[in-house]
Amino acid sequence: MKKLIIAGTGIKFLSHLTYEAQRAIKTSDCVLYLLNEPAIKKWVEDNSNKAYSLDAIYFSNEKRKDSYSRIEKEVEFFLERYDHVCFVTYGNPVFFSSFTSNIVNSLKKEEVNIEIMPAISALDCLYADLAIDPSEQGLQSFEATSFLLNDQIFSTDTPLVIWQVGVIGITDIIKQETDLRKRAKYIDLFIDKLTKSYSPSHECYHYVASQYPGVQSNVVKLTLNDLRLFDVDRLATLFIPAEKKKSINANILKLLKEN
Amino acid sequence: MNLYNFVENLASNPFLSQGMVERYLKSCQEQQDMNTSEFIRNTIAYEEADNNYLACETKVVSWD
Repeated sequence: MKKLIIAGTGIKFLSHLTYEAQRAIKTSDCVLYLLNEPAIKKWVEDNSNKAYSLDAIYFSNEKRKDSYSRIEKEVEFFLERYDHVCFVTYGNPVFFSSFTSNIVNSLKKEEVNIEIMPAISALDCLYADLAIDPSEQGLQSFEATSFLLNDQIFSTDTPLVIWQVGVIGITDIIKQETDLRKRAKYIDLFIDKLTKSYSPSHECYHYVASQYPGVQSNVVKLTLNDLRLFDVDRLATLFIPAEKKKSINANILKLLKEN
Repeated sequence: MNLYNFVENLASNPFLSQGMVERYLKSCQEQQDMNTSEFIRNTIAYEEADNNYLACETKVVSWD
């Protein structure tokens, strides 16, 4: 039976590459990779039987969804030719990865054994760098464009994580920094939405996890209003601490005390 | 030791002193006006003759 392993490389070069992911890369018949950092690309090339970069496919389209669709087809194409294929992407391979879920869905009916290997995501790095325990106040997590587009219900008494703020409202492939210019108006709309619930002076963290051992993560504390003029990094995750305290349910508290 | 080996070495030595790492990178950076991450990315990309080091998003939320 054919087998497809979908593995993530984590965020920090090599340090986050799990032992099982390393073994998958080293022992697969071929590895297909879409990675955002050159050192880990080289490591994959150096440590696999055959490695194929998906960069050319990714950058050959205007729309990201078209690239993802072609990447899905490429994985299926290689599965027809090889028994053991490893598809590698960065972070956790199921976190914010349109093609991972599409590949899994499209191959469900095929005779392919699929294994997804978990990996360290930007959120795991954020927890560690900001020393946040999600069991204390809970956590809300949304993709930035989705948050803006939908009538999203969120609460200011629970920390909020917003992913992909740096590409909010952008569905195209970004080939140069100027492609990011149009996001400014979406960031304004995003802040407008947030400040209907939070105070504009409420502080948040612009967070970019370190991609290299020995290099500090980039953490900038600023107010929500300051974000309008801030040069948001493409890799940034926004962490907004709770503004209000949670209210305690007096009836439940009474019941707990009775027991 | 080239930069790729240096970064690989860093991954194997989590207790390497921050000062040593910073001194090495600072001396490298003095030749180019970049922050550390940009420097590492650009240098490794250059060494590998692969300038296509742009970040690639893996998720899109569309409305059409």
